[in-house]
Amino acid sequence: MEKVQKPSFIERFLQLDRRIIYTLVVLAVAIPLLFPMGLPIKVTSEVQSVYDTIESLPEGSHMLLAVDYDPASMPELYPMMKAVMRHVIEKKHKLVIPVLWPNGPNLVAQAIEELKVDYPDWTSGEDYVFLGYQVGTAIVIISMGSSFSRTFPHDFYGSTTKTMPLIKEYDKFAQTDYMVMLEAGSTGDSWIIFATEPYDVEVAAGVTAVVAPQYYPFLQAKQINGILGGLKGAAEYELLIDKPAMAVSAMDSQSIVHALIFVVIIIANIFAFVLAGQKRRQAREEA
Amino acid sequence: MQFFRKQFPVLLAFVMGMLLFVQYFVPSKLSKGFYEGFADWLIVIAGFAAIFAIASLLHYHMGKIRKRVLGYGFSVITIVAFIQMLVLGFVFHYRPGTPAGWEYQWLFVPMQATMFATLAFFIASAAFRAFRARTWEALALLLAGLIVMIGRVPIGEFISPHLSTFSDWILNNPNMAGYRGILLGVALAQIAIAVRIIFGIERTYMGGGD
Repeated sequence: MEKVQKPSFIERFLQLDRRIIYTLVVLAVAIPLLFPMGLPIKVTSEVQSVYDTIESLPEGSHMLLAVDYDPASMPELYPMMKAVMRHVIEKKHKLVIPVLWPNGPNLVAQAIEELKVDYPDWTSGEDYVFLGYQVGTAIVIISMGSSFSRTFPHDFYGSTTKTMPLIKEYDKFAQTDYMVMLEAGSTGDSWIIFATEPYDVEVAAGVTAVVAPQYYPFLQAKQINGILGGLKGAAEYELLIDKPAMAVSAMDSQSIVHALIFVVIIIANIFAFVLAGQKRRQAREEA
Repeated sequence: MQFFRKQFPVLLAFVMGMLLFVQYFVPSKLSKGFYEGFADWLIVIAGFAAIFAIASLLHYHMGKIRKRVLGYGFSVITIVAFIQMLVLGFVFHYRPGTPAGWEYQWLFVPMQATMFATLAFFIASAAFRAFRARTWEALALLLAGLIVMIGRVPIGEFISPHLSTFSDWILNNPNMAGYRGILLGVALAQIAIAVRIIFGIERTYMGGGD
């Protein structure tokens, strides 16, 4: 009877039950959240540039915050959105917020409600206009070049936009002094093609980490002047405005999960390499 | 009837395509007015497209329910969820504090966030099993991925500031060169397709069936 060879430690390790990996991920997320380590967060030049631009705009400047994401990207983009909005309010700029993703408007409404606790005087129609969602993506962007109030006759709350004081002074995309687009996909490409480039408006992109690499060509070509990349970008921005919040507190968790995946990949590769060597040796000996 | 099915869409695409092409280079009031009117029309057409999408969704799931296909219960849930959300939205709007707003905040947001969050687990497991340096190209990809992954979070900076610098270099050079090539390729292909549609060479957008 042929003797069945027991799998070696390396073979067993490479066949590790996925539930063990899942448990490690849970621990890597939960432990730093419960016991923060306070790892230092370095502010990158791409994020600093966005902050500096908003900081340097004169009071009352017209800003557009494009919200093109939905709850799936909320952990990364929601803290970013709140941090940027907070900065805009602090600097007393005027803000117009269109949404081109159907499941995005309620996230903005929630952020506005939360921010109003700290800034009760921040008034809809005067300091900001939340336009809500309009179907059509690129078509809406093209149309906003002509008129915001024509493209969005009513804001999210059902008020007529045309009669709003802010829309009376800021009704065309060309009147935008600075734009920040929050992107979980490729809608940002349409903003650049149909709005910021034709009307020569400076823009920054706040994007999920997975989308960030797509925006680097635009950064180098100076078609965008900054990138807030993923949760880290949000954390950097929170530090810049001196209001550390959700993103900063989640950075330790993200660091540890990344480190875990890093270590796991390296160990798996070393073991796979060793195992391949053993098998080659075994094959030579048998031959 | 044959004219409206075959020739008219091609003619329409040609006329509109040429008008918009010419409009781009003519900075007159008439040209601007045409462009604005066109943008309004596009939004209306996009609205109709949404209606078609809804009709298609309902048709697909009703078919599954009628035929009692395996898992047709999910189609029932889809239709019921769709209709009740539609009714609640029409009656109360989708603002926070309304029933539809409540469903959005306490059902939709957690469910979608959960779906996305499970990716972290799958990625960790898949990385462990599949991310192997079996060739030199795979090794280069692996190393770039590892450096960017660790260099973009504070722990990378904590281990060594060079990790973050190298991660930025990868994103700003090899990554950007690759993406720029893709973007240029896509842009050229889009131009080619647009020209083919305008001149009626490309007709697949009209659909293949009768």
